[in-house]
Amino acid sequence: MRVAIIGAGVIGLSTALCIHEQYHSLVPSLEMEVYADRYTPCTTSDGAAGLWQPYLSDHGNLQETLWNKETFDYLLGHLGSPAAKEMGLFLISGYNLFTQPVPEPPWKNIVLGFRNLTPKELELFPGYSYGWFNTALLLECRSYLPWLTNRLTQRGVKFFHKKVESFQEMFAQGVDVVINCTGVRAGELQPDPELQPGRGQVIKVLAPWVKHFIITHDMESGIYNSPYIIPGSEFTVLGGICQHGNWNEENSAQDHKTIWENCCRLLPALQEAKIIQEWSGLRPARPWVRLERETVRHGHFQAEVIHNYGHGGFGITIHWGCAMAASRLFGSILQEKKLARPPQPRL
Amino acid sequence: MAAPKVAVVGAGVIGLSTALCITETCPSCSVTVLSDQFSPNTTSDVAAGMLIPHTYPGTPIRMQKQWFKETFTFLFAISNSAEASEAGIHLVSGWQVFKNAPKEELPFWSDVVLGFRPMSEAELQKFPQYRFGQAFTTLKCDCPPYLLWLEKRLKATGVQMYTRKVADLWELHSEYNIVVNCAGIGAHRLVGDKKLFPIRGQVLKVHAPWVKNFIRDGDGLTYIYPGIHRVTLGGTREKESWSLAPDPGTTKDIFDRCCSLEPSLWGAQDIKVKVGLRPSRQSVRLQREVLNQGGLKLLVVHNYGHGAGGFSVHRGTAKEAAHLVGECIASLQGSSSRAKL
Repeated sequence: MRVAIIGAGVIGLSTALCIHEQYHSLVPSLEMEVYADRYTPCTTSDGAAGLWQPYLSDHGNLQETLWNKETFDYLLGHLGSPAAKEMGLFLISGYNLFTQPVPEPPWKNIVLGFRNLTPKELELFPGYSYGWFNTALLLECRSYLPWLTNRLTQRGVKFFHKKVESFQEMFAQGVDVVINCTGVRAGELQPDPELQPGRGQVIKVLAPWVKHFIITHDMESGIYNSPYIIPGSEFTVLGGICQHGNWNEENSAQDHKTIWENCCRLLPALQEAKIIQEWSGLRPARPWVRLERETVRHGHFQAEVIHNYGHGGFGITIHWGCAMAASRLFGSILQEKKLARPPQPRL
Repeated sequence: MAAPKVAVVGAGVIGLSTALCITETCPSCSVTVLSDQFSPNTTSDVAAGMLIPHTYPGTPIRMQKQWFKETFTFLFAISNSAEASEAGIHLVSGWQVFKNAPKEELPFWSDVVLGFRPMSEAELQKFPQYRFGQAFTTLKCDCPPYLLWLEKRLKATGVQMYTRKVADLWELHSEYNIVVNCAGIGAHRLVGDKKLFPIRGQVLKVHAPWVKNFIRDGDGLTYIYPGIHRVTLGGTREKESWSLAPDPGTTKDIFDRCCSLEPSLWGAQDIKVKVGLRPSRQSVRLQREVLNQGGLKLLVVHNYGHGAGGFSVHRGTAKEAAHLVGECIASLQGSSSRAKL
């Protein structure tokens, strides 16, 4: 049974690991391969600050909230383990700021210690009259992706540096199941008008005195179009750009100016921070995540694709819940092909 | 009379902040700082500089709260300004955890720090050996940056600073009108204060930049305080120990205790060990004294004995000391005008 994962960002690698962990012992013939044209540190995931935080509303999409919770709980469970540092995982507290009261988010009971900001705290942020404080997690992909890669390599998963041009190309090679984790460029393998780039730009600086994340929100301009400051283990990420439909991966001087001026207004001491790097990336934005099976004709045979893409600006936040869901879809494929007993005991 | 000449003895956080307050309240004074040690070799440089007050048994709580509030307000404004990183002042959030119910549910400073509240059940799960906890956000003064920033501000107002070991306050009587004694643990020998005693503290300063929150055991012995570049792991409270030499057994014990609170610390790198002697006293000695010898006088203001709480109350006690210096100046002017009659 040959399984090919296309895409080596946080979604591709975590889905690969999840499936291998769950099914390797049940399917001795399982051979897994990863195909990608970009690997860490050049994936979309690498540019993200890595803060676990969903959007403000799930628009009634309870499924995504559950996947977010599953991811948070999974990561929280790893916090006390020796692997945490290698994974790039740690706790971080911080602020969400608004210019008017807003409803509480669906994730308020998932994070730790969620509460409203006090008047004294709001004095720190002139121009903002309402906000939240909570403790969440940060997962830095520059550590997490290599960690996932090591776990996969140890398990005998093979990696190929290659741009896959079609699903058929995989099936023609003898792949039985393709896991499509191609993120923003999924449309190149199968047109998807719902998938659009949400272009982001960030400035990475040295500001080690900043110990909290600060995310501002402008209900008019939309998510991630308002300044944010997210400290990592080495660098602090300054951002606040989200341009729907913009495919340009080049850094923009205008966006740099916007980010820098807005973040320095938020935290005046940032003016002293040394700029280390500038980066642009394309969030794979979609009204909801595409996580489903698709049976594809391949000559006389039926081949299977599991789609797992369209995680917008919350890929890290939702990744493990989606990996588990993709893994369950894989399990159902195995059952249909009678290749494995279901993991649960029979009644 | 000519501009009063004030000498401040001591260049830790108390000496420097007191000197600064004196220049603010008495711009015409000539202020000089004298100390045998300057940053990075003061007791203050060893401390983490966390704004979490120590309770002085001999001082009214109302006064301790006033000092803390003044200090917090002063530093809060700096942390919010463009100078924050240079001054080494930053906000930090975290948890104080207790194995047994704390003596007071609400410490006197709970409404001065930010967002003080009991920890939730989910938060306490991260600390399986602990049953109660408090979450809040406070400020941290990183040293040397804070002391260097104070020195820079002092120099900008014309304050001179000299390395000098003062053996006896009286030796300054011919050069200065007023001496402010901020000698910390040095006051034991300098003025023979038997009520002042060291409480030895050993700490580790480690590289662990992924630690963003503080964690403190309510017993005050084990704590993890993330600073700008290093995390301070502590500690010990050894009464009457004068030894400044790091103890390797203690180092291992501190590291083990901190790792059990925060397991990711096992990955900490480049462990540096430091020792400081907290200048401890039942109450901070904040009072005037007149030294007389052979018809000559020297006016003294004492500001020492802050023990484990120096950073938490430094600005409040500095302001009060500056006020006492003002009283000294008034009495000098009074006697000099009387002398003219």
